[in-house]
Amino acid sequence: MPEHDQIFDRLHAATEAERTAIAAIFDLEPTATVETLSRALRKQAGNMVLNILRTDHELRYAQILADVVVEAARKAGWPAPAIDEMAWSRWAEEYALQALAFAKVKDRATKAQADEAQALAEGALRRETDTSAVGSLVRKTGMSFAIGFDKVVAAVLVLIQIRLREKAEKDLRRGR
Amino acid sequence: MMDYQWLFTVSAKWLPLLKDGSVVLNPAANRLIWTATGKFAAALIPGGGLLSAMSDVPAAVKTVAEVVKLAPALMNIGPALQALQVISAIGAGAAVAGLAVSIAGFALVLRRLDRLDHKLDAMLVTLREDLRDLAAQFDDLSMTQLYAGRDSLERALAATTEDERIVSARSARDRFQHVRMACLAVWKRTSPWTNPKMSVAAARELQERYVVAAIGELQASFILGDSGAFTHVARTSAADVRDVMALAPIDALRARTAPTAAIVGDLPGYAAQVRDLPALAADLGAAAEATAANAQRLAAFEADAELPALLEMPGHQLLRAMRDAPGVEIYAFGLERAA
Repeated sequence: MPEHDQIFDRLHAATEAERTAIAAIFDLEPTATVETLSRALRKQAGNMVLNILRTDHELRYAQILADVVVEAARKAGWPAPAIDEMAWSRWAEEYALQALAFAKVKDRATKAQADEAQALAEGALRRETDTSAVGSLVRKTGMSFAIGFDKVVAAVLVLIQIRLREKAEKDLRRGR
Repeated sequence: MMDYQWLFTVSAKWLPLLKDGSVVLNPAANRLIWTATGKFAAALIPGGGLLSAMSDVPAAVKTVAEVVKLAPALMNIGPALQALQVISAIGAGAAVAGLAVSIAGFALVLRRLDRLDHKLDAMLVTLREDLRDLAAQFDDLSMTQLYAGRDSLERALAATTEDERIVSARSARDRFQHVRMACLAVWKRTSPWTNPKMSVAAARELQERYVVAAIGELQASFILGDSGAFTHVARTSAADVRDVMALAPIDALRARTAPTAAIVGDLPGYAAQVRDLPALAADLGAAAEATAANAQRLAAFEADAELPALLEMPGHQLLRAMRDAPGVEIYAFGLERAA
């Protein structure tokens, strides 16, 4: 598959600093190509046994995200949320962002604040579904507790940043 | 607060030139300027609201107090009208359209000082250790210096002797100049727009202090009657804001959000930064607009250098009139020129 999936799209849209950061996360040369970065992310995120059976870029972004969501919930101290199999990756990304950001303040948060943050994050997962994703079931890889998964989370956060930055830049250009 | 458009507008004879683009309205200075050169073309004239209010005033009325009594809507600009002798002109039956004017923005003066919310001060405490060589500049750009400058400026306006006015105006000018230069030095050293250590709010306040100091320096020069120094400050301060403090929001956004491999060690911190990226972009967009407006506003002051000569009125008298007319943020003074 993927030459045209979201991972490739985002890596192509990345700034040099964003690409270099992902390369550094996976101990690659700063000049690593988009293909190399995609391969490194998918290998790190995927199950080692299944990886043998997969081609380099076969593991879907949605599958990686499903694990990131579970890991983000764990860091926030929340139970893993039920993810609609057609949940648009954008909302899964939002959940991951909210949960991870909450992890930063969870020790100081009251129960009410924690409940509110959790409800807000889970609310994101119940928003629009991506009808184009019908048939492409999201199956977790079960890798979220694997050693080095923080690298995957970090790389996914950079991919989320790329989307948000591109949108923000478009708005800034329009505002000129 | 009164809407200045209610007060002043473009006179009919300039409308064709406005339509064909030969002149444009400079909203920062409230005057018409030549499109090609950016130079002063014409003053604005009293608008329908002002004329309507004045038309109710009998021709025999000659004092501001009488006018304001008969036309309460003009209460806020009474002192300004008096300073410009608009009332006596009306009383004499002269055509109002021939009287008024251009600009000024002087009324904004140092009122901006009170809007600064001291976000910068906390930031400076954290920067002071890193930038020890700039310690003196840090002290110079303190709010205390700005307040002291404003005090000297007000004393200059209140002075009843020429000597005291000059001494106080010079003191104000020097204080404001120190603050302005300190802001500039700190700005050049810290590159606030692209510096993740400085919040956008703190960067904006640093720029705002520069602008307030520049306006204070301009006013002090205006009182001193030195049109050359006045023009120089208007020109250089506008250039500083436009060039040195220029903000390219997309570049700044990229610089402020550039990730490193270290994010693996602080995923929650980085997630919060990514989550807040849209808000940061919005702040930078607003800051870019504010920077452009500040540069435009300072540049517009340059044309005010000629006001005392145009009106045959000393600078301190013009400033007094504006100071004493609360409630109106923008004033229009000056004499309309022939096209």
